[in-house]
Amino acid sequence: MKPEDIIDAMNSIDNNAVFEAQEMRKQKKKGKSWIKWVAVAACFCLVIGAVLGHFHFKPSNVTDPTTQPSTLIQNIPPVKNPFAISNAVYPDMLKIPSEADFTDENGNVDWVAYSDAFSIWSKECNARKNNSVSAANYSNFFNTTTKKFFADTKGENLVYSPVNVYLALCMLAESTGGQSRQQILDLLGAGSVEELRSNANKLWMSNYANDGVKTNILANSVWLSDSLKYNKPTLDILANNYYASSFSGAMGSPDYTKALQNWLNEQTGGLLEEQSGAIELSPDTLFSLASTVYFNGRWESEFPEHLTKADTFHAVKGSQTIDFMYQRLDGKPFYTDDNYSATYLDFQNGGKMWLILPDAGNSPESLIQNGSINSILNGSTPKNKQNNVLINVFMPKFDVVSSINLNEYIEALGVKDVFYSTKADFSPILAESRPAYVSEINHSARVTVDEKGCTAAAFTVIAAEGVMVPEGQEIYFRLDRPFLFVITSDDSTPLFVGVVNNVE
Amino acid sequence: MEDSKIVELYWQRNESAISATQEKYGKYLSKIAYNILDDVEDSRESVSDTYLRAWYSIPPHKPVHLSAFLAKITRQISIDIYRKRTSKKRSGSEYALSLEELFDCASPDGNPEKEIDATELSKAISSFVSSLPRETANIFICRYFYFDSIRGIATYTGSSESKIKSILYRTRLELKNYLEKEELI
Repeated sequence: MKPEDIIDAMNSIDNNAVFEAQEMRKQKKKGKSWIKWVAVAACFCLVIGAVLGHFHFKPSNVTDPTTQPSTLIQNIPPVKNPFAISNAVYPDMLKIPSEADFTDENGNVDWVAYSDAFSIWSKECNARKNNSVSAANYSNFFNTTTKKFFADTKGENLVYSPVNVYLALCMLAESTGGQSRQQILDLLGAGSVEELRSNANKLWMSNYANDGVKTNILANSVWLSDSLKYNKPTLDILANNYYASSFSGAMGSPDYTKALQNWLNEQTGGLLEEQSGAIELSPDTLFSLASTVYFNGRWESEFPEHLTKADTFHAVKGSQTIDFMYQRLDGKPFYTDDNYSATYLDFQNGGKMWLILPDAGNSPESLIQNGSINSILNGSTPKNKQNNVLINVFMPKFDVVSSINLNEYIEALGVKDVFYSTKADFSPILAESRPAYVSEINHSARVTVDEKGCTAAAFTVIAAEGVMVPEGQEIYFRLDRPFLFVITSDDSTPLFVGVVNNVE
Repeated sequence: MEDSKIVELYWQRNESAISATQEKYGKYLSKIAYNILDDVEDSRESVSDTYLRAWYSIPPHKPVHLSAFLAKITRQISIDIYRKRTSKKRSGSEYALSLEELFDCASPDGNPEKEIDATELSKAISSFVSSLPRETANIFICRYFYFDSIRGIATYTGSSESKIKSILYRTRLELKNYLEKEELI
């Protein structure tokens, strides 16, 4: 059969249906306007919707956030949401000691007490870092998914948070059984669901940070229907191992959809309002899993604001004028290889943003496909590393945002059964068996950078590309054409990766 | 003018039926033609043929939804024009993109030459569309009946393009499964 045959057959569909669709076409809904914003942040959200279902949910124990000791930070704003049935209890994290707390009325600082408090705090930080997930598992996942998602960006910007997608898929694995679960475990590189749980927990503990200097908040939630029954043990696992808050409401009601959107906005600092506005809980939704990451960090070395100047960025879509920030970095390693050059900017209190600039004739995407990005991140291959150079970094002040549907990619990576109602097994979460499938996996992300800090990437152009510069010499790293950035955590876990093809 | 009044004019063989139709549905039909043909001149020709064909088919027909009735005529005429084109000219329109999207549903085995019974297929497609949830059916019709662009559908439904793409992708998979089950592919 030819596609034309289907098109012809469409001409005999019922006139009422044609008429009804026309009524919808006549509506002109206005798009939401962009919010003007200046903060530096990266945020990501991922929502998985499973369609179909029914029951009565027994609320799990609702935690009272006020029981937290006051010396510890209550990391997440309490959920003020009428649909909330249980609020995630987050890992407690000591706040970095502040001198002000150790200063008496006369302005004298008790340095001994301060330094004791500081060493307790840094011990805690290190303990968390030592807990990190086996590098092999996660880096495999990072490689395969990054290659797949960036295979065809069509010259658009794309930002992807592997840690976000990883945790969301972990929750999906917990909610599924049989072959459906196995396929997810295979993609996530876990031999069993227990191993997965432990990996996810380590990933969470080593990356979750909200200590007053750096913010990297991970949040998960599960959205249930008030007319369906769910298996409590699975919901408990989601709450205890993935810190997932749960909500219950009428699927398809505008209020419930609004509550989900509000939750997403709250967890992502309102940076993805336009994207979250398109997420909804339809009457067909059986449950929905949402996962967010919010990252905010300051550059260890800020860009002086008075040096920021408008210049040209040679975007995929033609020349664009944008503000470029400038600073000179001394003592940073500078890497060159056959088809790229790279360096990184440090965040205060750990973590880096790698800036990778492909040489002329190469695209940022090609550096992902040919594995260069891995060589850079694990420090293995770049041919030339120079430590004693002065790097003049010119980096656009950018704000990139993307929203992609991952269904086809995830399916192509072997997670197939969950997308078909005839094959998907949701028995761990759904108390009553019914056909269901994952209808949508939406991943939205936004990264912005400015002089003070935080997320995103940029690169360098050197005058002589791919050529070793003599030690002690100056390098001009001008990120004025499409480049790649990767934000990594203290323990070098890649948290976000993005391609900046355009800056407008 | 109300549809029933316009239809009445056709039945009275009153030529103002055509100008009334043109006034009320001219733009709407041009859009359908343009989505298929991606050419203003050809679209104009298709729409004026639509009026002529409506003139000769009402009566005997007495359409309740005149818009749907006319849309089907314009759609068929435009597709016929498209098919007479040389292969060089056959690209770029939303219709051409829709065909590509449907390729996997039509011949998952990669063999488009397999013959099918058009009547059987029409029945199957109709019952498939009517089995879909309302919103999904509307979006499917907007794409594969009206050949609206993904962006256009996203705009008037107030959704993101990725959401529309996802719904269409999902629905095409369901269609493929359905056609397989019905042993049509």
